[in-house]
Amino acid sequence: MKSVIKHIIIAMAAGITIMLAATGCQKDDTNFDEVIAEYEAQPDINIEWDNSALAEAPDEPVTDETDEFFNDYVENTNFSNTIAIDYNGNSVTVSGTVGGVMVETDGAHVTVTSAKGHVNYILSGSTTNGSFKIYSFNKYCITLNGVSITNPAGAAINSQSSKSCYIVLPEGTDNHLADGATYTEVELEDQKAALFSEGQIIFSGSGSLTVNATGKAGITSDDYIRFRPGPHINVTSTAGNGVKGKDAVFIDGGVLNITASASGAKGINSEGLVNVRGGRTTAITTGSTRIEGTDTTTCAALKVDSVLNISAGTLRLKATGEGGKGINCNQSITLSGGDVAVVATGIKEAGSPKGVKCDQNMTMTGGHLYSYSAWAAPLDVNGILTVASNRTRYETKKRSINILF
Amino acid sequence: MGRRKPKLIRLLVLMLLVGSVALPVKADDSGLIISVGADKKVNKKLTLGTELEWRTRNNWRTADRLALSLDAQYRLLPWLKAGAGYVLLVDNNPEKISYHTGGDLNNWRPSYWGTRHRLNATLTGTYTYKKRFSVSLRERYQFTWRPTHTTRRYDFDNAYWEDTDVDSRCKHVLRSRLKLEYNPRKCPVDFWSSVEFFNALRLEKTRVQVGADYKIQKKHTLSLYYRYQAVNGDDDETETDMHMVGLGYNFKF
Repeated sequence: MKSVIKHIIIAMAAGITIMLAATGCQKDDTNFDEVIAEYEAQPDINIEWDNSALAEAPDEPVTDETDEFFNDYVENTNFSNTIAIDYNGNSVTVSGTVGGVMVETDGAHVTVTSAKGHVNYILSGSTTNGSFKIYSFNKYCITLNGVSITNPAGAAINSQSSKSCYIVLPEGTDNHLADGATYTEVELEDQKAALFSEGQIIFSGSGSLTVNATGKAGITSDDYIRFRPGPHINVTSTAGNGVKGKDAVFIDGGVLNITASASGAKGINSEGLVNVRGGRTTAITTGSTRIEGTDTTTCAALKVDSVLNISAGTLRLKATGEGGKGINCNQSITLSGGDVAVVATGIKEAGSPKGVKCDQNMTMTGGHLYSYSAWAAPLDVNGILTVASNRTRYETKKRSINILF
Repeated sequence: MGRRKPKLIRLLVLMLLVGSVALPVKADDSGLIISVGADKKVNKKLTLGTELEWRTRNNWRTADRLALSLDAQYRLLPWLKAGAGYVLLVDNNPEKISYHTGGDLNNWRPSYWGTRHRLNATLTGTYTYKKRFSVSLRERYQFTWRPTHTTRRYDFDNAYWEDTDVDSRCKHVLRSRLKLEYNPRKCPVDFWSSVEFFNALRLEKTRVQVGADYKIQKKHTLSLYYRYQAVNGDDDETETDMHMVGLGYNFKF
């Protein structure tokens, strides 16, 4: 009997061992591998400055005088009066005289007071302690003819005129503007950027311009800024926005590379509208959310207080800092063409780092939109998102959205 | 005697019905219970015992827990026993998934192994009829302590793994079990059925069991039983209704 029991026990032990081996070996967790991979997905595109040449269609000036923007074309005004200003270290040579125009110099700091219209100021040479400042009752042209101006105490170019400022970059010229870390302020005058104008700024030509700002913004107009096809403009600012057109920013063409690294800074900023209809624009912000008391201001590669219209061109926008957004639009966005890629890689703390944030409606009828956000919504539309039915791709993932027409 | 048997059967059926009333219809799981135990009769009144138990869930495929228990039973009266015991529980705690209000994933804590410690005190009253039938009522108070445990979870909002503490917890439960046993004449097999209610201020769990104990010899017993366990809602959040098959071996010396 004992032998029988022993066998039974051995059989039981063997049976239990087999059952233990056969059961309980598998996990019952949900398989989140694919989901996690989607949450940890990296952006499909690497956004960096693109300094390669851009082939663009010729920029045809508006010839209809009744057109709202007829005045924005330098070709439509005869700037036959020229004053040449050649910087040479701490001094400057001024050539040419125009009645009604007074040119004062202090070392390499030039101040122009003009009551005369249609004057073209041709700047050349180089200075590390100079500037160009203008008071003008009429529209004027500044031709940057291979000039390098650094003003350690303020803006390199400072226009106190509310009239149109045409900045022409002749073909083959490389131009450099830089400000200083601290500005010497003048009472009742603004100087908000290394290149500042109270009036509208219109860029044209096919040369290049590099703006390095360490004290304030890169390029600012208290009116609007228009970038016409042709120029190649690089802007960096460690202290403020890259480019700000208070009333509007029009990007018709050209190559525009912008990096703004200050906290709360914007790559491109407008309190009004922004229209993009050509060119290749890359705007990058690296700063984090600016916190002042209870107010928080997040970075955005493109910040628009009014409406954003994109009909053509290439737009590359990236925000890498905490809470930074790719596009932050307070009103509506219309995308009818163009190739837009937005990447927000900053973490979410004080600010929410969205790819595209639109406070009102967003309508897409053409072009391509890719938006990625590593930590929050790639596309956040508070109003109605309308995507026309003739799209060829509509791909939404946790971290990205890709819409193509 | 012949007239009393049907009454007992009717009682058994009634017990099962009472138990099944409390069983909600949910997606049930199934599992296996394997146990090996030993009892030492120290004297006529005192018995010491130990048991090792292994449970599975997820239709037998996933380990659920391993339990090692030590207990002592003392016969106060011929029909009344008192007992006390300690159980070391090593649990494979199921995953936990939380969602945001909008339905988006919030956190995922995968399953993890953790320990619990359980103390219990028992009073069992038994009525035996002609050595063939017995009815017992067991009241057991059990106290379970789960120490704080650090495990990891995935934060979907921030897309990273992070450590998370599962807080320590104490739980008091009163278990009431009514058991019927039938020992046929000249048969080495005892048949039994029980219903047990788990109360922690409210009814949390109901357990119905039907089984048989096969006495291979005086010292060796094999058990085979079926258990249905209905969870009426407890704060464990992880238990589901279970169909279980139990296999046990007990050695008495």
